[in-house]
Amino acid sequence: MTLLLQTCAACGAVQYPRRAVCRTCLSDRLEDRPQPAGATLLARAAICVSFNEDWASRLPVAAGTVLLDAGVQAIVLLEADPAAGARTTVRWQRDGEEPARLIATTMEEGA
Amino acid sequence: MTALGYHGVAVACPVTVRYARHSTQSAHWFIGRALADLLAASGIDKAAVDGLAVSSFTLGSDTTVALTEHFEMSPRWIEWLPTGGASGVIALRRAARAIQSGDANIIACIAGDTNDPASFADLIGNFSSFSSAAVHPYGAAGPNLPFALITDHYMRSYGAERADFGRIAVAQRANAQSNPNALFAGKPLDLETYLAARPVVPPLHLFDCVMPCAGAEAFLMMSEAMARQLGLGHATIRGSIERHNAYFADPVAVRGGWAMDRDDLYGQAEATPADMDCVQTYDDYPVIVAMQFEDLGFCNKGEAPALLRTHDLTIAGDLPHNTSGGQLSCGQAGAAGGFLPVVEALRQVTGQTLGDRVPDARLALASGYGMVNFDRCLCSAAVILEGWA
Repeated sequence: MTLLLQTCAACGAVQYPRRAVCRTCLSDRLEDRPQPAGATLLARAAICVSFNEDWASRLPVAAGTVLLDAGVQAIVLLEADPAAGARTTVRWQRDGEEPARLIATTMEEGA
Repeated sequence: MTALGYHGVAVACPVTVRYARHSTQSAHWFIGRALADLLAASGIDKAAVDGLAVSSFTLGSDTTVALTEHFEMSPRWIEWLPTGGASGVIALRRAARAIQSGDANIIACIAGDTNDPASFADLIGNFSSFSSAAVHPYGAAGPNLPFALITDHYMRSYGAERADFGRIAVAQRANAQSNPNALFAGKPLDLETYLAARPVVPPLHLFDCVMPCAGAEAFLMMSEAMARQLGLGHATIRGSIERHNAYFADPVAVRGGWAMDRDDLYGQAEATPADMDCVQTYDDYPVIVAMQFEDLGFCNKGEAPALLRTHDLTIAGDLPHNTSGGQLSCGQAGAAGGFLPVVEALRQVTGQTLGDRVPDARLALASGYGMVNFDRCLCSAAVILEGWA
């Protein structure tokens, strides 16, 4: 499985969040490329209070920090309650007009 | 080229404009009242203040220069500190060099913010490009989410428990009881209440989170000679450091920039952590207090829980910490929260406290941490002040 992420065509460094120039070599030759979608869950939390009332009906929301195999960390929504240290698969979730979000699900055994 | 010390520079006139949970006054009002209080405390004329350094989140489109016209001043040196919780130390560092170089003689350093019910939500929804893109869409929980993740990771990595962080909150609440400015004076806190409090973004619960409020904190910078001439109680600067985006390769923050530069800090000061009569950390969240104790050399990484279990952090204790009550018990008046450690350090070593004083306090360590850009704060800074009451 792959995950589309901004990547530097000059040095190969993956960028997240998206940048105007490469975080490593400062090149502006940045393009979206499929990267490995595997990640390790490093930390997790449960959002019980949100500053945006649009989230009220969805609380509590499980979120975490994953270290992507592609070499960057990301804050993601968690699906299926993985434990810290678990291997996960990360994908982009697009929900109508809302911004695309990263969502991590527990990696299947042998995946 | 080795860094110049801070010889000949004085920090004077700690000022606090009373905190309010909400206010209809503008940030301009809080900062203006702080300036008025600085002049009243020092006896200096407004026209004699030739430097102005300001930090604020709620001035709208205005920065320091707009305030020069608002307050009808013609300074020859200004500074704008967009460094949040590190702004107190960084303002002090910038102003000190201006005094030493002769670019300004009397510098007012002020942080102030208002707080109306809508302003905090607006602020966190648009705090930085990276947080707008990669944090806010994930539950709109503000900085509570990244710091819950840092807290969870720290607990997991070092075996810390909520009660370890609770000890910080409880001691600070005890310290706040004598501080008339603390919004939580008169509201004692015990560990049982801390542990039972409602979850916000667990592992963060209610008493792990600051209460945003309105207020201002300020001080003056000038030469030592001028401070003595004016008869002002003042402190001198034994050493200071700053660092931005430290340890960016750490996938979750476990340390801040102080760990990179603390040897330099204590080398400048010719002192050790044990010499500090009080410690004023930036307490946006208890886990960051723990990190400051570790990264500023009071204990090894991951050992802050043990340090906190074996020391008394109250004003009368053996490791007086956040003696004002800190932001967790005073409230966080926006950018003034970044000045609180410096102003409280100055208060303690010059005997100008709002509440109780650490007996014979002479050396104070004040720390800063600010600007949660994505998943951690980027600015870290620290200063050691020596009191000459």
